[in-house]
Amino acid sequence: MRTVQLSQLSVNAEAEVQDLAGPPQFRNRLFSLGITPRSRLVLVRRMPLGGPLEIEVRGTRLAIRRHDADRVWVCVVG
Amino acid sequence: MRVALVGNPNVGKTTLFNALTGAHQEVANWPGTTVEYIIGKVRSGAVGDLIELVDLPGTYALTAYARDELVTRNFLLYEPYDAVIVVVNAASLERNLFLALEVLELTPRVVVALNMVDVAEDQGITVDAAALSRRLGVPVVPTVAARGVGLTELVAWMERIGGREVVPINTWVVPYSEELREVLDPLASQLAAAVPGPGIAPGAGDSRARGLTVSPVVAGAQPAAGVGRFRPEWMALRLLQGDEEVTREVRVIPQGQAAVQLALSCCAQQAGVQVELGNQALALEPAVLERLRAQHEEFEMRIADAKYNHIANLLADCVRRDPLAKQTFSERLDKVLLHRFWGYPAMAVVFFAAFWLSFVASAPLSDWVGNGMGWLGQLVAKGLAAVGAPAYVQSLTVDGVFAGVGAVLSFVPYMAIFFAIYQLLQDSGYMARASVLVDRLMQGIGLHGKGFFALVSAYGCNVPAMAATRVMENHRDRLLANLVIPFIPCNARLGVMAVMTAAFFPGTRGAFVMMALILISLGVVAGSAMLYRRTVLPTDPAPLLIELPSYHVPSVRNILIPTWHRVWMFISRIWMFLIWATLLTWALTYFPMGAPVGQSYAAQVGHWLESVGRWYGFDWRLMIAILFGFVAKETTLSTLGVLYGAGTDGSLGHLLTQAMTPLVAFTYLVVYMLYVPCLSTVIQMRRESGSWRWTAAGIIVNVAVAFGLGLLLERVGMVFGLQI
Repeated sequence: MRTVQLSQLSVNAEAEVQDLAGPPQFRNRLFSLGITPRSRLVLVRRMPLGGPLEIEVRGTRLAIRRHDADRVWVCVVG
Repeated sequence: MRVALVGNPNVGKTTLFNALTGAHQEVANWPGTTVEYIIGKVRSGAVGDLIELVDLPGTYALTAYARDELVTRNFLLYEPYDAVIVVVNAASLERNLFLALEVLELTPRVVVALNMVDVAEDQGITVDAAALSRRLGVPVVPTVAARGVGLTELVAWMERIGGREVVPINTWVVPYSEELREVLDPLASQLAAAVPGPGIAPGAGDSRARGLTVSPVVAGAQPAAGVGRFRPEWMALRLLQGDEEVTREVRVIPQGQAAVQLALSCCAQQAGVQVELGNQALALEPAVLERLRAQHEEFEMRIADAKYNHIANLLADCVRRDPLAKQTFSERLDKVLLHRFWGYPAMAVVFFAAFWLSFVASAPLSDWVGNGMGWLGQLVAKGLAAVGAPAYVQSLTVDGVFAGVGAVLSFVPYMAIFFAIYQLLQDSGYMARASVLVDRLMQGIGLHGKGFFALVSAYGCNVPAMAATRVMENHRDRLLANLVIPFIPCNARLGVMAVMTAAFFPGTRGAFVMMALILISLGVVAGSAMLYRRTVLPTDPAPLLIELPSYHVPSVRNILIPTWHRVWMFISRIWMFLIWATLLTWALTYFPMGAPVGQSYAAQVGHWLESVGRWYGFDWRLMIAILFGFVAKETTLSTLGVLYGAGTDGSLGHLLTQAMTPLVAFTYLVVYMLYVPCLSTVIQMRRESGSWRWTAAGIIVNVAVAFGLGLLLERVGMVFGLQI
């Protein structure tokens, strides 16, 4: 079990969200999209040119920018 | 009866709305914002009454943080309605039910539309709607909005819930943990005592399992006004989460102050802060306040967590998931369309096709409309001449009225095609992907991927481009895009630029000059966007999250209805302005009667403007062309033709080269390219920004940059003795 930033996760890896850093607006938006502590997510792909990351969380696909993903701490599962 | 329709984005909410209401729709603007909501009428046979259905903007939650979620929240909080339909996507229930629970905590008069059950089944997901209905305590109707499945049942439930034939039980929706309940229960009971309830007896104990309670219609059981409308449980939750707006609302009711204090002291206790909470809790030290805020946030997280836990339990009981052997269609398509190499050429092809169809293929249509109006005008003029109408009446008819109407109508073909394609790209799910692909590039100038399509389409026409900025949820992002779009030369401007460039810089030099002009505009767009970001429009702290919905083929109806709305909105708002402006330019060039153009009022205005133009080497005719170009840039060439006395034989280019040096011409092109595009753009900017102040600021910056940069170029050119 190692805790890394979401942006450091490797493609197709499944991880459990540990903590969200950042201002209330930031955390709140993530909550409402289902990214809460203990939720499971999978990194689906990284967009080219340093673009956003595509993740699957709670049955939906989302794109999140890398610097936003830096604030999401996850723990690799399995 | 009034019913609100809410749901996450991409759940087929608007499809459902269109299927329910058909063509009976009108667009309303939320007071004080640019956000629109659409009201439609549903005919219901049973009641013989019209149900007014309000399509609220898609939202993920009902918190008060994001400005763009506020419209939906404010409607649900403060507007009268009889029932709410929460549309959820059966294929991604886990996330979708979060909003459903938030709404259920606010009002029990809810019908859940379990939409896209067909898509879910394709993905191996089967939802037991009856079980879900029992667990949620409200009706859950499976629907396939695109094919009209389940609509009759939905309308029937709407009537029963909205007509208060069935009153769902008022209680805690989510089984919060003991820990939370210890705080929430006393708060809720205090609030229940303080606020006269909406006339529904609170259910005792855990009544969720019992489902709906059928009770006779209570005469005059209208929703109470003000905070009385809110459920005490909901208010308790919001107080604990530190919702400032709700706290303010609760404070003003008698004994509400006590509830607010109770919430605060709970928070203080949990945070381990020892404070005497008087009436002025706000006067606390910043460090203590900070800890209280952190505690509010902690509660918020625990409440969200409890909701998701509850959802997980619901799904375990009501949803069966068969493992899929093959990849879904979307995944296979994304392998190509989001490929790190092929994604970009694919996007280029899609966008090129989109713009070619909107702005090139539609050109003959626009010409037909324009020519048709011209021909009609001539016909009417002939008729007028036959009955002996004076010359100025004939001229007014042809060059004033018909030219103005023609200017409005010639917009229609490409607006219609553009908006149809825009809607197609949106609905199919491709636009979100394209936005993600270019996000990094756009971030460089302080915008994001969703603005890319709008900026590129501005090369076709700025007006629909501004409308296309709506795809960005954040108000500031939209505003920024609207402020920089006018710097992008549209079709009409590019046409004038091409003619002048060809006249002054024949051969290959012309290509370089055009290229230089385009690069200048790109530089100005990037520079001004960055400057706006650094000064008046800083980035929002909310993260940019783009949902990538599954691809699907949109229905024709879902393309045509919004296209019609957008085109009609434009026409209905613009026609008065354009016709008056055309009449004014006609009058200025026609009067004083009988005088040659050189002595018309227009010329007098031009001579007056020449005092500015002299700095640049522009004569009065060029200044007039700039001024009149504001009405519609398409007219610039004909204005110049009239002013320089050129015939229809294409002698304008020759006459222009004799009137000024290439350097002056280049300066003119830069100024012409960058200053306020046209009246239509200004009106569209007003509509998109929602404020005249921002519109005025945008125009002033536009004109200042255009003339400032023009002067700079001219002076630098002079110093270097540049003849290009």
